[in-house]
Amino acid sequence: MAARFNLESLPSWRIVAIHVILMTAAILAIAPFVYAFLTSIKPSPEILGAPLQPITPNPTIEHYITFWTEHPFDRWVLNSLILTTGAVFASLLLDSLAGFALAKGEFRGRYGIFLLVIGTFIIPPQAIMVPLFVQMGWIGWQNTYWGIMILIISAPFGVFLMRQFYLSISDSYLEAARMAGANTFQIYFKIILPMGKSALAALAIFKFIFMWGAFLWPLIIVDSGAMFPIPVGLGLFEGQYGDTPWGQVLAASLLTAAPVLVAYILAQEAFMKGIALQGGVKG
Amino acid sequence: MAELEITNLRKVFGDEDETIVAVDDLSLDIEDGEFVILVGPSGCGKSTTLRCIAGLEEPTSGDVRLAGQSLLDKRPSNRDIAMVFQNYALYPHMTAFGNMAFSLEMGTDLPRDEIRRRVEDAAELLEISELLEQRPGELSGGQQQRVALGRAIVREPEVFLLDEPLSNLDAKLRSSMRAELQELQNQLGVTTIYVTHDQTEAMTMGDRIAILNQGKLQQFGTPLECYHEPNNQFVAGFIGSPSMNFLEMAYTDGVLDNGHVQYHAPQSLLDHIPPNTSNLVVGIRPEHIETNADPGDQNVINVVIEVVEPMGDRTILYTSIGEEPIIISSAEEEIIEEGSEIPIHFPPDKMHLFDRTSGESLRAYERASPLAEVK
Amino acid sequence: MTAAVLVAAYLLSLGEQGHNEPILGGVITFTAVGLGLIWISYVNREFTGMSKVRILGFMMLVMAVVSYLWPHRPWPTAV
Repeated sequence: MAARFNLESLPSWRIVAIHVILMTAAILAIAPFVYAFLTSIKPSPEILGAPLQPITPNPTIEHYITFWTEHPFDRWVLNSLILTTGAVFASLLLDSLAGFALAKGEFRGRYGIFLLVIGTFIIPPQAIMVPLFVQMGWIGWQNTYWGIMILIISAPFGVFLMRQFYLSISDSYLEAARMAGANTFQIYFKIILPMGKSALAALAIFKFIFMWGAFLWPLIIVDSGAMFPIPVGLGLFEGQYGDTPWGQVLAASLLTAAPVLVAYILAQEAFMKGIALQGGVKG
Repeated sequence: MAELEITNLRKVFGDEDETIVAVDDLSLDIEDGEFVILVGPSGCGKSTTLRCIAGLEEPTSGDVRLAGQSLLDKRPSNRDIAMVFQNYALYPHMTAFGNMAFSLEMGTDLPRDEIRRRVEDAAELLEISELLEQRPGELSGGQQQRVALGRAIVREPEVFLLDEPLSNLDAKLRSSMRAELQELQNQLGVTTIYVTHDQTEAMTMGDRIAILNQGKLQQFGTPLECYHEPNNQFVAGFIGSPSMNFLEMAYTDGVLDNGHVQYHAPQSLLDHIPPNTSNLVVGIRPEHIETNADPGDQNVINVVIEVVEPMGDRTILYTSIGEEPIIISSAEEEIIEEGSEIPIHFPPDKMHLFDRTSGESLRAYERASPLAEVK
Repeated sequence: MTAAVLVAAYLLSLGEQGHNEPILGGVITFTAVGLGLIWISYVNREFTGMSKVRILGFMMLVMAVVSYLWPHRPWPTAV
């Protein structure tokens, strides 16, 4: 498993081949972003008009400005920030506690609860969105941040991930801490939480992505423009006029993608670990 | 002071459908400052016993008393007991200092500088002072071992529990740590219970060893007692390396017979055989078999040597009597070739006799023998 | 009892649009997360990189203030 791939030991034609493949993949991945950026700085008449120029001779930021002034984009960004912050924090807290209990706790019905957690995996969230919408109405959570967050927070994936990770921590750590005089909360806080840092980071990233990109549920639960997270704002904006303002759409898309890209670059290592963890292959 | 008494300890795992008796009616009296080894094959209940003493398992019945006081209703942290785990259980996110200070911070209300002083003293004792700021991941196996010991020492407990602490080290480090652990225990004078499955560790380290099998105590005595005067066939086979040879033999009128060889037992041996015995097991240690016997003598067996393993100071010879494999550990310098036939002899005073059904030793040893005093 | 229900009902309705200038839902979220992070950063010496967490916590508190002072703009009617 730990066999390192040693590039230098390969024959040179294979190195070249590997690089060609990787570069093709990289270009394929980056091209849409480049295209979006180049289009977003074109003046409107040039975007669909002939002749098609890849790079405009008169770049402009007008699309960014019009988009921002005609729509409450700043508010949508704030909404998304509030939602992701709350959802990620609450998920880490609740999922790690639940995972700890399911992995290391000894209580009646532990297995049953875990089965329930697994069971909820089977049901796609889209299938229960309408009843959930009705339920949210009962407790007055339509059009609230909490109503949007709760679906992301309660996703069973986090509990499952944390449980699997904590199962891999040997019981002797907990026993040593218990012999040292730590109570269960101290064990959770001082041993379990720091030891699960990589799993927590992975979970934080996944929840961030889910919440930042959530579209369907916020669209259902929220009907006021002031509460939209970015994807909903963008989605509705696209279909708004008969004549789609492509420059603005692409400008807004780039603005939306930017925070995720920055987060990815900052947390690249944790992200990789997280993917490996989810795949069940420990680094 | 702090002698540890274990009385009729019993631990049963499982539910009504299926139960596993891990420890069965175990009683041990351990004196203050003694180094006691719990040894046995895996699954013999030695670790469970240790965990019952530590408070990590609750015994089904029986009692554990320290200095006359029962420990059973005390929390693990209030038992004045420190434990070193097999995998050391060092917290990877804390420095060596943090690991050693953790139990003092959690379990006591000592001031910061007192904690620092204790940790530094322990580190000095273990010669890891310069490693205190490093994390377990940066330490070698031996250094981790020392930190784990340090974590136990700083608590200044009445009893140390060590659960196979050397099993993760390589062979060379293991033998040096063995001596060091013994010295450390002498220096600190703390009652120590050490669990291992390795009979070499058991023989070399402990003041007394308790041999367990299938949850039952087989023998509790000094290493030499267990070696020379095993209570039963299990102890005889477990202690000593290579292990004791056993031959199932029929007994009639002073003659032991297994269908291939006949052994005319001298009076010294006959004294131990109760009347009406017809079947027994004869045990003889490889190092006690004489290979320079006179072929013409009575009781000399001629065997063909199948494999020879020269070890330098001695030679291990593999042969067989009938179907039974026999191992001989010879100190003779004469070179024996594979395939050669040599005369061997079992000296009667080195022979062990066991009941074939119960496995109990037929020799009635007097426990107050001088051997018991040798440590 | 009724008072508690009323308080709870009010608290739960804070994130709603009707009350959202200033954005109280954001204030609550950011304050809770910020205080949580700052608390962890001071209490838990076992974690590494606690200074970063502390900075993040204070940033969250700043965001709470920002949410509270968020400028009101008229919404486009079409959305």
